[in-house]
Amino acid sequence: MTRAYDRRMRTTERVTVTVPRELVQHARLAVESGRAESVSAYVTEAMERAARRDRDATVLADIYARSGPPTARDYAWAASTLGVQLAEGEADELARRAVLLAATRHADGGAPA
Amino acid sequence: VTDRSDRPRGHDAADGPDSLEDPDLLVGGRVLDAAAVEAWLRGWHHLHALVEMAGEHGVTLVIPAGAVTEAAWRSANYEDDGALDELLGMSAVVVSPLDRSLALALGHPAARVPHHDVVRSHAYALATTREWAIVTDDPEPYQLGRAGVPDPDVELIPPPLVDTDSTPRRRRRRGRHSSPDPDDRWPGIPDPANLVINDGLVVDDDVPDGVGPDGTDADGGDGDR
Repeated sequence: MTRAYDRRMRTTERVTVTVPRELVQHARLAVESGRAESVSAYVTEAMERAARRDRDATVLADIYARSGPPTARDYAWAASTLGVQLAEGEADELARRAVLLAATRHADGGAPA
Repeated sequence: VTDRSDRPRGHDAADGPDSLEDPDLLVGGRVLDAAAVEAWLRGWHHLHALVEMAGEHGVTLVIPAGAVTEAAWRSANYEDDGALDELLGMSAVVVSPLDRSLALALGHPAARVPHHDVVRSHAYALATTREWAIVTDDPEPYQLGRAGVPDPDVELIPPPLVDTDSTPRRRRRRGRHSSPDPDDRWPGIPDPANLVINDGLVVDDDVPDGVGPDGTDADGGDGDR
């Protein structure tokens, strides 16, 4: 028990952040309803999700810079395959975003080490 | 392979004999079979778009362990050997292990069916158990019953019609593992007699037990409620 606590204390860091009051309320409600262990756990999970999204975006940017980005038709197929409803013109927007993502990696000089 | 130890509980494929009997752990998803994984290796953009959108919308893409084995074997045919690691490291992707009981359950019927494809059998089993569609670039083996008796309830999602703007740029490498017939995309899986099985257990170091890294799941009672 003590060792687990010590381990956590070594790998966590207390930070002070400013977030909208409404989101804090969401987090507290999640804790009260048992969906989250604590506000810290709630925030940690959200940050982990964001970190995973960032990692995905970095890898995809490298791929798009290397082999070209997907087209609007590819995104439309992907949305249909996943059962995701796209708004009108959203597939085109996603394709444009992919082109920009690839261009960013080109500008950065390619994949990071 | 990318470290995925920070994946929350519920995104890891269950291991052990009940790996097909615990579909509630995953909210929703699709099965990517060996042909779909190879399409990723070939650099097909529709797969890139699929993995990107799955990550953004929280849809799980399950790949049977055998499909990873087949893809790793085939990846030597492609210039970019890192593509498989990239796919397996994406947040939406989960590898479903083939445990002892499932391996036996899939393998025994296969012995009675000529040209049975045990790797696709695993994909088929995952799809039927979870009622998820199979994303495949080659639906024919399923339609021919090579992955099990065709089930009309299992949806097979083929690739989009060929788009000249979306052709893969990754060139196939010539050499070992190349099929003698360039049109034959599925020459078969390695002879199981050549595989060494130590204890019948599947050990996947990349898929932890679902517990996050130290310090990410609790706050040690620091009173922030």
